[in-house]
Amino acid sequence: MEFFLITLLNSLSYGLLLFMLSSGLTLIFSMMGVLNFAHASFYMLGAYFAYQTGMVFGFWPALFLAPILVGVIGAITERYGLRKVHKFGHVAELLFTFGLAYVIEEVVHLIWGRAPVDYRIPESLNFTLFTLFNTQYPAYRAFMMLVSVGMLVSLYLVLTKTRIGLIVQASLTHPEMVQALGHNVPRVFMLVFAGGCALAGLAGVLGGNLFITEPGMAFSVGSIVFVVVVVGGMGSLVGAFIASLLIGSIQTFSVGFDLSFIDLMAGLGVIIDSNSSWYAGLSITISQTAPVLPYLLMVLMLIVRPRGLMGTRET
Amino acid sequence: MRLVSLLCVGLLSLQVSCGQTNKEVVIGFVEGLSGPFANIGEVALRHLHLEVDAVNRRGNLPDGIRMKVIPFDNKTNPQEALLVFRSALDAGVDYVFQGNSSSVAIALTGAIAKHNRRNPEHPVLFMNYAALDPALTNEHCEKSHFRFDADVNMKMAALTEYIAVRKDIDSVYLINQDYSYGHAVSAAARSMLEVKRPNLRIVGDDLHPIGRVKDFSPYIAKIKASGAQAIVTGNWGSDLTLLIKSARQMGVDVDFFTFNVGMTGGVTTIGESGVERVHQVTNWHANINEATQENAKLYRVKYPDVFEDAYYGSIRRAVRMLEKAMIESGTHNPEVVGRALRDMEFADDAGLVSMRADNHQLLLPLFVSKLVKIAGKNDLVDIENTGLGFETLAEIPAEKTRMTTTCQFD
Repeated sequence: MEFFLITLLNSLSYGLLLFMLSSGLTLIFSMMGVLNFAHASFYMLGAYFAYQTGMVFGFWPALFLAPILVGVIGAITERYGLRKVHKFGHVAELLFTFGLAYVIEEVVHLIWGRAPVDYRIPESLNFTLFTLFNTQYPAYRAFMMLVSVGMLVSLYLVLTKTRIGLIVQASLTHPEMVQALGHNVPRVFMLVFAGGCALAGLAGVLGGNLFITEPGMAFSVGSIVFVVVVVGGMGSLVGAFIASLLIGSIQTFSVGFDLSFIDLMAGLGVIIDSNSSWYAGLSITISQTAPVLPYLLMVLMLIVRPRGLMGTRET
Repeated sequence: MRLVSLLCVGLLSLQVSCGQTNKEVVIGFVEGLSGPFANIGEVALRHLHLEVDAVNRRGNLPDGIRMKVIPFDNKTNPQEALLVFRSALDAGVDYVFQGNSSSVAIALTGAIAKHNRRNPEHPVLFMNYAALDPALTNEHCEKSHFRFDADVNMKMAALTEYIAVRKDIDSVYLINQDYSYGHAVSAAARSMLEVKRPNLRIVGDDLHPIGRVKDFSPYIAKIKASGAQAIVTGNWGSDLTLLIKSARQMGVDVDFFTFNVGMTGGVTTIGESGVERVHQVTNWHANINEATQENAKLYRVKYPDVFEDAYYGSIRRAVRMLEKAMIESGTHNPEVVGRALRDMEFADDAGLVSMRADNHQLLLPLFVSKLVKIAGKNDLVDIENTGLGFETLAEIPAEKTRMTTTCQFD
């Protein structure tokens, strides 16, 4: 019971971090049709900016400053990069963001070096929030969940209840009409791209000190973010939310199961000899396969339901 | 600091072109200098520079030759290591230093042996300072490979000697990285604990992907649920610091038995919560005797701005034994020097060590130590300015660490 509850909390916090990461990506995709390969790099930039500004101003101002800085870089990227290559079609945009990911990684190498930086959880959040049975639950994880849920709610409200949200939604389906009504559609796109990047930056601020801030962090989350977006359905915010929680719990819970195929067979009364040539392959436990499971889920999803859980496009 | 190291790299690459006239021995440092383990690669490189500078200052090498270090980034990946080994050969490398990751070491030892067979006029020696997979001195042993640290079995033998006398521990949890080295640690722990403490329960045995797990909390929840009193792990680098960080955040109160916790960042991450709980088995730590303390201080004097403290006794030993072998054989030819290294005895700061001729594994004393507060203990030095340091609990003499080997040089 203790294990179950703690693991549930862990999977929730991990899933919500995944959501923060992937919401920006799916938002940008749904609005602009651009699959941003550099999205995880903006996550990394968020962590590094928070580390750097945190050294000067402390963690709390950095929590706001870092995502804004990442958003500004996102806006510049859209205005002077993506918009220029847009006329050459989606392949050019894809290649542009692909290259950008490498450029950002090299720039991070040059500025902060190749080793992890010492970006720490602030002292004011470094305490035990509550003790469940006898496992302590760190306050910082709870804080991260809070920020993530707060972000989801405000994002939803902004998109559906405000004027700017309505314009954004309208630009998505009827860009010419919105333009004709006197709105600056390219600027709306720039805002959306900047916003999406800022969300990734926010995830970086929170994830960077919980885990580790190093130049490889973009690469290590880059692929899982795409899994979330594909499983949830390209462009669907709700889908990304469900998929994040799903993948978070799959990865977290599967670590807890030491069952292997051999145990399964033994349960059925078939004993596989440890000298058998199949033994090594069959004795792999579920917990060892934990890192692969999300990708397996993605493959299955693409076979069974290519548009994802909540997706509307048949891509 | 960054600028300085950039400048160094620039100067080094200049020396490649102008180095042909005055004779130099080229030491290729083929190590992971980017990616999740970049930080410990850089730490090892600083250790190497410290020792090589000392050799050049002494200037005792035959014909007045000097040693020169060229770093190559293998990205902690066997395929990359083979590629950069080619460029190391182009740069005229004579001695390859590597240690982080046994899978890289196994790839390199094969490539170097093959190179030596094909190019007897330009042989290369492999100085392994930290890759601990026993295979390197058993089934994968090569004449050109020398290991200056104790392998997994030797270290686990020392560690289990100590666990055997800790009667208060009756359950342990094994967690290791999922590759050859982690498998070796897990297998050695199981087989040795079975013999030395038959009533001890191993309540878990986890293997996780190396360098890819960022969130260890699911593993910690599992360890917690298993009720283990102690964790035995061979993890190193960020895989160790993140594991301990997670355990600390979730308030898991267990003893840690590790191989590498004194490595950069380990003690800082653990902090006070690890006092009297975190143990390590190493061939070197600062508080073995006055000589080791002196060497630890030398490192701080040389690198006042860096975060870490001296850790790799094996690098110091490897460079000094190489220097001695060159002086004794009167040449820097790796093949001749290699013959001088076999059977060599050397008075190290931590005790007398000797190279085994039958498998090129160094026999050296091992130390089980635990993390303590140094306040009130004037004879101890601390790590990373934490006020915490290691205190020796048990010393295992060199001869007792001798393991049988299946190695046969052809």
